[in-house]
Formats: sequence, structure tokens, C-alpha cells
Amino acid sequence: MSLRSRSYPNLYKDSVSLMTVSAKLTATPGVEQASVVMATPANVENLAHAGLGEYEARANDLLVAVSGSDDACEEALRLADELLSAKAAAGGNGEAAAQPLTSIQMAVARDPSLNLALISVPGDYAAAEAMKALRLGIDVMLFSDNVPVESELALKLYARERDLMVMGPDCGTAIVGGVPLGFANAVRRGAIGVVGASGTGTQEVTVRVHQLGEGISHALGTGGHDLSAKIGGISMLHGLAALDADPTTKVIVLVSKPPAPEVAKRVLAAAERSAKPVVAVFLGADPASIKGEGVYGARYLAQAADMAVSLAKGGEARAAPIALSNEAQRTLGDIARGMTASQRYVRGVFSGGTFCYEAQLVHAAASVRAFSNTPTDGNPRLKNSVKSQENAIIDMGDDEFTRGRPHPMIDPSQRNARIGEEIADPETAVVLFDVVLGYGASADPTAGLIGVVGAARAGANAAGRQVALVAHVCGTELDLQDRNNVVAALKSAGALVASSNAEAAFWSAAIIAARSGAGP
Amino acid sequence: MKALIGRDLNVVNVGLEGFAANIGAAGGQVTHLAWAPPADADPALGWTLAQMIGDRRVEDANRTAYERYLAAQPRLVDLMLARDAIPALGKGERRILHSGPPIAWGGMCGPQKGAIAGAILYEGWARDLETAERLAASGAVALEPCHTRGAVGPMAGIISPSMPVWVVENATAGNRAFSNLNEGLGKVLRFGANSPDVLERLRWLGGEFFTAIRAAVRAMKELDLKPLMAQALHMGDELHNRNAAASGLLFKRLAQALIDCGLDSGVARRALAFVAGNDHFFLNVSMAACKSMSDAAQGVPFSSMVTVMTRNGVNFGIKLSGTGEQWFEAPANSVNGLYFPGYSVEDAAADLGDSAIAETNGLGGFAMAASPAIVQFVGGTPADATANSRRMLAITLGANPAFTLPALNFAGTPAGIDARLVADSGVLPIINTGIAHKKAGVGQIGAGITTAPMACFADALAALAQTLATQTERP
Amino acid sequence: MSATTIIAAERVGYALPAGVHSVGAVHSVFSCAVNLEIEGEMWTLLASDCAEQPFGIRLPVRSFEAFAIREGDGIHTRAGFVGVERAGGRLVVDCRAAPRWAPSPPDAVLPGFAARVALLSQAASARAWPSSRLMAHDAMRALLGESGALDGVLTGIVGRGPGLTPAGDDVLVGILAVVASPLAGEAGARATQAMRRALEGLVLRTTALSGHMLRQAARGLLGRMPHDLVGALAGGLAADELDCALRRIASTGATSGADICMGVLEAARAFLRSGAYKAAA
Repeated sequence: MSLRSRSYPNLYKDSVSLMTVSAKLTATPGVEQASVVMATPANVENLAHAGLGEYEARANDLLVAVSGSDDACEEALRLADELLSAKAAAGGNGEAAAQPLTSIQMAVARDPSLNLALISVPGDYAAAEAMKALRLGIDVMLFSDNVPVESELALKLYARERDLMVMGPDCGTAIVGGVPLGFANAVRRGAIGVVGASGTGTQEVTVRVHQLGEGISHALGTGGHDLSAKIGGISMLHGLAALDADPTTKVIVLVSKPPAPEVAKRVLAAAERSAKPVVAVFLGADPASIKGEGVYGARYLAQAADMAVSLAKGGEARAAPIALSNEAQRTLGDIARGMTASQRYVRGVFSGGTFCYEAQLVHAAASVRAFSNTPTDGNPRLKNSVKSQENAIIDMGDDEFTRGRPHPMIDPSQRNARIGEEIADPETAVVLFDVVLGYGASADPTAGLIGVVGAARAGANAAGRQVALVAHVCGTELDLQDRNNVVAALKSAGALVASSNAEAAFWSAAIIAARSGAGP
Repeated sequence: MKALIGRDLNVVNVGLEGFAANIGAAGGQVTHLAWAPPADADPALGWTLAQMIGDRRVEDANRTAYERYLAAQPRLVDLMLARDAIPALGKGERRILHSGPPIAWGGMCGPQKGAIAGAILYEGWARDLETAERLAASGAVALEPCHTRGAVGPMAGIISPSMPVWVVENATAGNRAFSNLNEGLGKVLRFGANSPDVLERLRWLGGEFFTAIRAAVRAMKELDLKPLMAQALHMGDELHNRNAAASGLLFKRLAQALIDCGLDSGVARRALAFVAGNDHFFLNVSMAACKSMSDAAQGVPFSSMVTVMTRNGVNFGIKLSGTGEQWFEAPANSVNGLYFPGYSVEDAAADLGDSAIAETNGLGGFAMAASPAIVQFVGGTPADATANSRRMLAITLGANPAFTLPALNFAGTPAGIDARLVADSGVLPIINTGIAHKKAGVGQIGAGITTAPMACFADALAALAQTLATQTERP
Repeated sequence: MSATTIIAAERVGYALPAGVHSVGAVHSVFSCAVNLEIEGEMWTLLASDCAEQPFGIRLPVRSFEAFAIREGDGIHTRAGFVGVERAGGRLVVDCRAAPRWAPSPPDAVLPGFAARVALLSQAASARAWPSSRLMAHDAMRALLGESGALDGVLTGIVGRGPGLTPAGDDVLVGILAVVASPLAGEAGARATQAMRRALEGLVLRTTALSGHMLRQAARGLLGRMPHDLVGALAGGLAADELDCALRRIASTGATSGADICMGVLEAARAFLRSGAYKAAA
């Protein structure tokens, strides 16, 4: 058994590139462990713990460490070298390679018309990049998370003084002028503007608006902490004002978990002052608490979209009730009746954190308590996130699942494996999940899933169990993955596909209620 | 954001490349950065640096410092003995100046020790090398950086009281700078040689040569150096490693002046022969001119402009305009270059000399576009030389219109290094340099390209940030 | 992807705001100057021989002919960089640390004023547009309250006469150069205010270029030439230098320089007296 390593001074690669190379090295036959990381103190410590050696290196150095047979290590290092070496830019006619742009300042010197910085570097460095962008007069979308709240406040205060916006930190989704930023869906342009503190929440609303035939003017993000007492909703207020001033926006939708009380007051007051109708969905808050002239409260994401669309058409704020049609009732009833006595529980396996959250709310409203690794108020915390107990609705995109691994929206394999496990569990009645499409998401989100589901179901059937699969697809037919194709694939695998996350959770809760004898 | 809505989005993507690809695929405008953690990968310093970008106090200070640098008009006004030109070397003081940041005798590299020992013999403070070395080690002879006294010297950069120094005066602000005489190539004091023939040459330089050239300089009546240097840049010099054209231009003027002085023809002939035989004769004059220009920019509070870059064969040292006399040092980076036959990297001394004052002023490596020959030492092409000059624009406050480069369409050479931009972009100032043998007295063994170490700029910015923290920023 | 050319500005005018991020377009292109309209203000790229302007950006170039800049080309300014979106590739002007030009107004009118005025009159009168002297005279009378309302009189002057900057406008710039100078004291300040108010509605009657020039002048923002002129009249130049300076200014443009001189002359006679003045705090 060998341990080999190589260090590349002053060679920087982003986390996705590093993970890709790591995975390729690990896949080399004969390699036991491989790690490709930037030599930050934390990473160096991890390498030591993993038994991959002790290193003294600088944070701007890249480290490749690999253990396995001698030959395998040799091959792995050679492969790493090949993958990491920068391609020499083509010269031709004696011209030197174009100057690489290494800072925002350099990019601005080359092109002063730059007007948005999309920042997704590691959290340690993200705030500084954002501050520099603001100082150069550029609006910021800060995708990075793990940014200290003091830095977030400093950034937003500075931005406010200069009439600039910081979307984030931890802002995964935005659409400005039809341009997708981060994880976003391809939706038609239209009259509805969104300001959201949740990425997938924003995606759900934009996708639903598109499905209802309307379109999106701009979807702005605020990051998950914006509406805390400490930050005070600075970005949401700025976004609201920006959409207010935008002639193409006719209706505004605000998406968030419930803000801190003083912040909610400020936001709703601003919403009331707006000349345009505002629909606010504060997931977990009672819609009745959202009141004001021209301000409407929605309970669920899909409903917010419904209300916005009907307002845009010039009507009242109206949302389709989430209820079971007769046909749906029959179908769900049949399925429930076909289950064995042991099958009593729902297992929600989500890639979108907000979908996990909303699903818990829907179940709670139907008196179904569920364990979770990210529990809503009143739900118990799952002791061991990798093992479900009773009703369990989990967020596979949470930090503990994504350390050193891609997010399930990008690479669903870990999530698919979990779905397989839940189907195999005799206590599972319903497996509930989301499939998120769009820019940034996996190009083929159902490929691995079909196989896993097929095998697991075969096993369950052999044991005499029928497990209900309920899903919703957050996407449009314009997305690369094409929602129609994904829905068809899911249906062919035996899944029931609802039209929204809330509806899918409603169906799931109905089955659980039937199973517990409470009736449909 | 309000300004953004309604305008075409033009994104700069900092981080995951996939995001840029998606924006492009959706038909949006995007520029992807080849980003790496700035400020030497120190997150705390990176945050501090971010707040210095666009800081009004720093911007205003830099504008002031840069303007003083641009407005400087160095003139060659005299050739004097060091003891008469530099007060600290006068009045019988036993003091010797050396190149680079401060360093104790015990830590000095071979060439510098050899040169100091030779200078002690030259001054007559000791009769043999052993005694000379003991004197230096004991502290009986004070050893200080040339820069501390407004002077500069190439390689070992040794200036002792009885040596002649060029006196260059900045006509705009009145400040003066000094440099020693260039002895030529081969066995010379600046590479650490201190044998009797070296000392003999020094005595001749300090005697007959000094008298003749001083007369000539005075007869030239304040020779304007900037136009001469600018002309040399158009003739293939970059005024650090290539000085032949400038030396030729100076020779023309000296020859005329010497003849006008009516000196003894033997004296004049010997002096001119010496100058004619040394293609680097102008280097020291150029260095003094650059020192006077940089010194004009020194001392502006809050300015992040670099006014000194220098090496002592162990460490690289810099100073900023806004942090006064404080040195910021780090081990010198290695030189990427070629060695003359018979020598290799094992034989090399670390980067040595005050000649990086050229790059501090936009010459040398920054003006590489004017003199591509050096890139052959690193396997490059003339296009690479031009690209090197262009790349320096990313870390300077502007381009000096007095020094234009034909290869850049006669644009000015990048000048006025801003430490903030170095730390932010990761682009290090590039220096064309000769490589000395690590043993005293052997001489130059190669040439190539090196860079200033990032740690110097990181430390300098941290210190500058301290001065800014004592005052609140006006919005 | 066409190449971007970066060029460092040699000098910028004192009124050019630092740290402005905005959008505009090229208004007009001449061989020695390019005018940029940026959110209601006019900035000018100047070739190296061109006289300084308060919103000027001096480039180390002889002329703009080879630059292929066209009217309507988009302008973006950010963090001290000014980008021009030309068809053949972007031009970026780096103004970050460029030294500033600022006029240093004289603080006294030295003895011999009358003689200098006569000298200027001699140099300029023959070169000015024939009606310029009359326009200057009429404007001054209205300004001093000796005739009808200022607006009415100025209506007949703004935009009148030939030239890129009509002769009437040049005359008014000349007047403003004097009244806005600290040398003209309180009375001058009041006159400047009056002119500014009167011109507000009238600038639309002339070319966009000249309108901007008038608006800037009414705010006391004037280029090198008018400043030098007032300075020359205030004294301090040796006789031959003075003669040279006046002739040079008077022969600028077709009649432009001389028309400015007409305005300066009329205003100088009324507003300038020998003696020292305290510069405005």
C-alpha cells in the first residue's frame, strides 16, 4: 500500500473542478483513496484525519494525495497532472496568449459596461469579492454561503448607500432581464416580478407562473438571512423598490420563511406603499397575518403564483384550492388500500430545502407530524439523518449531505440511493420527492432514478408491498431537461406526478391519513 | 439594482465556471474570471484589501503621489565624491551603503560581503581582507541600505565615502538622488571581487576619471535625463538589462563636453575609452534618475503607490508612499532564466541589487516591449515581451507618457505600481535581472526574469490599512 | 472578438466627477475632440494639442482620426474607466490617477488694465463676427439693468450666428468668464446667477454642444482659453507674452476665439477694477 502526493504551487481550481478530478482519480483501478484539494488549513487537517498524509503547504497551493497500489498511485498522479494542466492558449501569428483576467478590477478595465458580479467562490473569500464589486459600482449576486453575518451586514449597508443590491449570501437563483443566474429555469418573460429569500422557492413560483401562461419580468434573490432582525430585510426592500420602479413589472411576489417580526412589518409597509399589487408567501406564517391595501398573503408557493397570475390578468387575487379531485381521491384510495399493514409512513427525500420545508407544512396541516433533519416548528429532529424513522421528510441538500460532494440538484445519485432504501423499508407507504430542472441542474435527472426505483420496487413487490411514489417536477418545457420528458419518465417508472410541491405533499398526506385509518 | 433593471445585463462571473457557461448558453453577456484567492490567500487581509479598493483617501493620495512622479524632471547636475554629496558619509564617518533592504553583515550574501571588504580596503580602513571582514563584522563600519540615504547601486551596490557618485536632481521638486560609477563587466566590486586590480580600478575611477567626468558633467549644464532615456527606449534599451543605446547617447554628450573642457588629451582619451567600453555605463545614471522620480512620490499619507523595490541577495524589500520609511521584506523569488555555459542554478546568488528601481518607475521588465531580447532567456518570443509589458498595466496607476513604447503603439510604459492591485490580481511586478554567482568575485553567470514576492505587498497593505483605520472614511 | 485598446488619460479637467458609473453615447466626433453625452452632461476627449476643458479628458494622441469613433457609439463609465463601444472594438480610457487640470484664477487686477483692454480690443475686433460686439453690448446693458429684461435680450443672442458654437453663445461665454471670476466680486456673482436663470430655458435654442458649453459656463465651469484670457487681462504677463497670448486666443477657430474676446471685453470694462480681491472661501 502506497501513499503518494504532489503539490502544485499557486495553482487554483474551484470546488467543482476539484471534485471532478477527485472522482476520476478515485475511479482509477487500484486506488483506495484520492483527494484533490486546495491546501487550506481545514483541508490539510482533513487529509491527515483521512490518513492521506501530513502536509505543510499554502492555501494557494493545490494538493493531490492518493493511496493504493504503487502502480495505481503512479497512474493516478499522471492522470491528475493531465487534468490539472492548463491548456496553453493557442498562439498563432506570433500573438501572445490573451491576458487572463484574474480580478473584477481587471475585468472592469477591459469592459466598463460590466454591471453584475456573480460570485460563487468559497465563503472565506466571497464577502471580499462582493465588497470590491460594490466599490466598483457593480450589483452583486452572492451565491456563496458560509459568509459571516457581520460581513453580510457591512456589504448590504454599503450597497444601500450607493443604491446597489446584494442578492445573497446563499442566493442560488435569480433571473434578471431574462438572463438566468445560478440555478434558474427557462421561463417566458412577462409582468410578474419576484423577490425571494429562497432559491428553490423562487424557482417554484417562476415555473408555476410560466405553466399558467404568464411570465416573469425579473426574479431577484435576497439570500436566506436577509429577513433576520440583524440584517433587517435590506435586500428585500431594495428588490421591492426596484420592481416597483420597473415599468414591465405589474405584480410583485415576495417569497420567504416568516421574517423577524419588525422586519415583516417594514416589508409589508413597503409593500403597501407600492403602487402595484404584492403577493407575499411567508412559508409557515398564517396568510391572514399578511394584510394591507393591495397586499395579499398566500399559504403555499404555488398559490402565490396563482394569485399573482390572476392579479396580472386584472382579476382578484385568487388561488386554486389544493384539493383532491374525485379521480385523484379514487386513485390514491386504491393505492392506499393495496398496501400491507406495516406500511404506514411517508418518506420525503428532497433536493430543494424549501420544498422539504413546504412539504412538512402541508403534512402538519393534515396533522401528520414528521421527523426531519431540517424540522419546521413543531416537528421533531431526526436523530440520525441517514436512517429514517416513522414519518420522515428530509433535505438531502443540507450541509451534512453535501460536504465534499455535489449538491443533489447537480448530482442526484446520493438522493436516488436513499429513495431506493426507503422503498425497500417495509414501513414506507409513500416516497415523496422533487425533481428540479433548469440551468445548473443535472442534465438527466431521472436516468439513475429509473433504475434504482425499478430495482427497489421489484424487491418490494416480491415482498407483497406496493409503495406509492409521489413527485413534482419544478421545471418547464423550455428547460434543457424538458419538463414533459421528465414527467413522462417518472410516470413510466410508476410515479404520480403532481403539478406543484404543495399538491404532491397534499397527495402524500392524504395517503398517510388513509393508512392511519382517518379516511380520505 | 434599480439602474440595472431595464439595461442589458453584462455579468462578471467569479467562481464556478458552469454559471458562466449557462449565461452564455442563454444568450447573455458574461466574462469569466480566472480567479484565485487574492492577498496571498489570507481571508482577513482580503477583506481589508476589499475596503481599500475605491477608498477615497487612497485614491486621492495615489493621484497626488502619481502626479509628483510624472512631474519629476531628473537632471544630471554633478559628479561628486560620496562624502561630499551624502552627509552621512562625510565628516570622517565610517559608513558604507549597500543595496537592498537592511541586513546584518552575518546574513549577507557572498558578493555583498566581498564588495564591502573591498570597499574597506579602498577606504584604507584596513590593510588586508581578514582585517576588513573583522571590521565589518564588529560593527566598526556602519552598514546601511543605499535607499536610506537617497542613493541606489546595482548588484552589491556598494557606496563608500571616497567613491564618486552621480548627482541627479529633480528640477520640479528639488530632491536629489545618487548612484555610484559602473565599473564594467567581469571582475568588479559590484559582483564581490576585491583583488588588487579591482581596487586599482576603483582608485583610477575615484581619481583621474572622477576629475575628468566631473568637469564634463558640469560643462553639460544640467543634462535632462528623461528625454535621453525616452530616446533609448526607442532604440532597443529597457534601461535595466539593456543600456547600450543610452550609454551611447551619453557618450556622445560626454565626448563633446570633455573636449570643450580642454582637459589633457590623455586623460580625456582614457576616460572616453572607459565609457565606450562599457555598454552598461548609463545604468547607474538611469537608476539615480529613477530614484529621484520615485522619491518625489514618497511620503503621501494613505498612498498605496510603490516607491522602492530592491534586493540584497537574500531578501526582497519594498516601500509604499503612504507608509513612510517602513520596509516590507520577504525572501526573493527565484529567477527564471538561462545560465552561461558552465553554470547552473546551484551556482546562483539570490536576486541582488537596487536596479529594480527601474521597474519601480515603469522601465526594465515593465518596458520589456521595447527590448524583447531578454525573453530569449526564458524561451519566449517578442510577442511575449509585449504581453509582459501589457500585463503590468493591470497593476499600475497608469502609463507614463514620457516613456513611450513603439511596440505598444507608442503608448506610455506602465508606471506607478499600486500595491492593492498587485494583491488583488495576483499579478506580480516583473523584473529583468542578471544572475550573479553566489561566490564573491566570480561575476554574472546568467540572466532572466523574476518577480517581486507577494508577501511584501500583503504586509505593506496590512500596514497601510492600519494608518487608514485611524481615520474614518468619508462616504 | 475584436481587441480592446486601453489608453491612459494624460490629464482630466477639474470638474470631471470621480467614481461615476453611468451610461451615455458619443455625441460628436472631430479630429481634435470627441464629445460624449453622459446623463445630461457633456464630457470631451481631447487630443494633446487641445486646450483644457472642465470636463475634458486629455489623451496623448495627435488626432482622433485613426480611432474610428462614430456618433452614437455607446459609452460606459465605471471606477475611473471610460469605455467607448466602437464597431471595430472597444476603446477604454483610463482616468483613474490622471493628474487634474484646474485653473488658478488671479487674485488681483494689476495696474495697466486699460492698456491691456485696448490691446485685446485691437487683437480681436477685426476677427470677430460682425454682430458680436453689438450682441455683447446689448447683453451687458441688460445685465446691468439698463435696458429690458435679460431673458428677452438673451433670446436674440443664444444660438445666433455661424459656427459649431454660434457666435452669440461665444459672446455669452466671454461675459460669463468675467462675471463668474472671483475678480468680479459680489456684483459678478449676482450677475452670474442672473445669467444662469435666464439661460435655463434658452439653451434648447442652440446646438446641443453649445448648449452644454453655455450651461457649464453659467456654473462657472470654463475651459483653459477663457481662463487664460481673463488672467491675461488681469495682468502679470510680460508685454510680448501678452501680445502673443491675446493674438493666439483671438485667432482660435473661425471667429470663436474672437467672439469670446468680445464678450470678455464688454464685461471686463463693467466688472473689473484695479486692485486685489479676496478669493471666495
